[in-house]
Amino acid sequence: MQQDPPQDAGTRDQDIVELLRGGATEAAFERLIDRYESKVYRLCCSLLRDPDQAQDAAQESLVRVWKALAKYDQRASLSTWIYTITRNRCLTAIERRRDLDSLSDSEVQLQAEAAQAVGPEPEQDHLAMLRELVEALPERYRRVLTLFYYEERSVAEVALMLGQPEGTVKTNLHRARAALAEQLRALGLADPEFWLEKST
Amino acid sequence: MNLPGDPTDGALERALDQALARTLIAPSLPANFRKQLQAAIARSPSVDHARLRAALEKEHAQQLAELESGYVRLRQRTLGTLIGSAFATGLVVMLALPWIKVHFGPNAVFAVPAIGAAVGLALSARSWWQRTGLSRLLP
Repeated sequence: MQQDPPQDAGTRDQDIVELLRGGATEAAFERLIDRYESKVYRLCCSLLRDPDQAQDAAQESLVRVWKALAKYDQRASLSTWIYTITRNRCLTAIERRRDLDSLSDSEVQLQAEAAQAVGPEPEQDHLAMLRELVEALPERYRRVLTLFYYEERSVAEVALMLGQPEGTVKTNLHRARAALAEQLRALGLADPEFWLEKST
Repeated sequence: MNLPGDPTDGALERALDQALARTLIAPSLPANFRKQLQAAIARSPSVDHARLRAALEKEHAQQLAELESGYVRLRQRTLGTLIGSAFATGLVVMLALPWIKVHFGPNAVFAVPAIGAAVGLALSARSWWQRTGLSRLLP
C-alpha cells in the first residue's frame, strides 16, 4: 500500500494525468488505486460509520471512478474528483438509510460499536469513553475530527476529502474539541494528567 | 487553538489531542479489498475507454463547431470602420442638432433617425453595388 507524502493537490497526481493523456487508462487506474484506495475507504468509514457499508461504498466509488476515468477532464484536481464521487456515493447510502441525525439512540449506539471495530480494540475504558463522546458529537464535527486524525492531522487533506474550505475545517475542528472539553469538564474528567497518564 | 477560559485549557487540549490520536486510529483496508474491487470491475459492464474517448472527442468537436458558428468574424479594419463610423455619426448628430431643430422644429425627433437611416441605406446600397459588380455592367 503506497502512502504518498502530502503535496499540493494540483501537482500530486500529475503522473496519473500524464498516463491518462497518453491513453494508458489501466496503468493510470492501477496507480490511482495504489494511491487512493485507503483514503477513499477512510472517507467512507468517516461518513458512514459502518465498516461493511464503508467497504461497499468505497468499492462502488472506485468502480465509478474506473468507468468515468476516460471522461475525467481535469477541470478539478484528480483527488477532488475522486473524493466528490466518493462523497456522492456515501450521501446516497446515507439517504437510503435516512439521515443519521434522526437515528434512534440505540442505532447510534450500535453504530458506535461498529465504528469501534474499525480501529484496534481500545485497551482502556477511558479511551472507549472518549470514542463514545466523539460519536455523540454533531455530525459535521465528528466527521472533521475523525478524518483529521485518520489523515495524520492534515487539515488540507481533510478539506479536500470533505470538499470544504480549510477555514471551515479548522473552525469545525476547534468547535469539536471545545465540545469534547466541555463534556469532559461536565464529567469531572478535565484534568490533563488523567489523559496523559492513562493514555501512555 | 486554545479553548477560552481556564488557564489549564491549553494543557487539557494537548492531552486531549494525544488521547484522540490514540483513539481515532485510521481503519486499515480490509484484506480482500483489492480482490473484491477487481471482481466488481470485472462484473460491471465492460468499458471500452478508447471508444469512449473517441466519442467524447467527437462530441467536443461538435460543441466547438456549434460555438464557432455563433461567432461573427470581423476583420480588424472592418471593426475599426464600424466603431469609427459610430463615433463620427454621433459627432455629426451632436453638431447638426441645433440646425435640425431650427429647420424641423418639433419634427426633429423624427428627422434625425430618418436622415441617419437614409445615409445608412445609401452607404450600404453603394457597398453592395460595388460588391456584386453591378457597377461594372454600366458603361
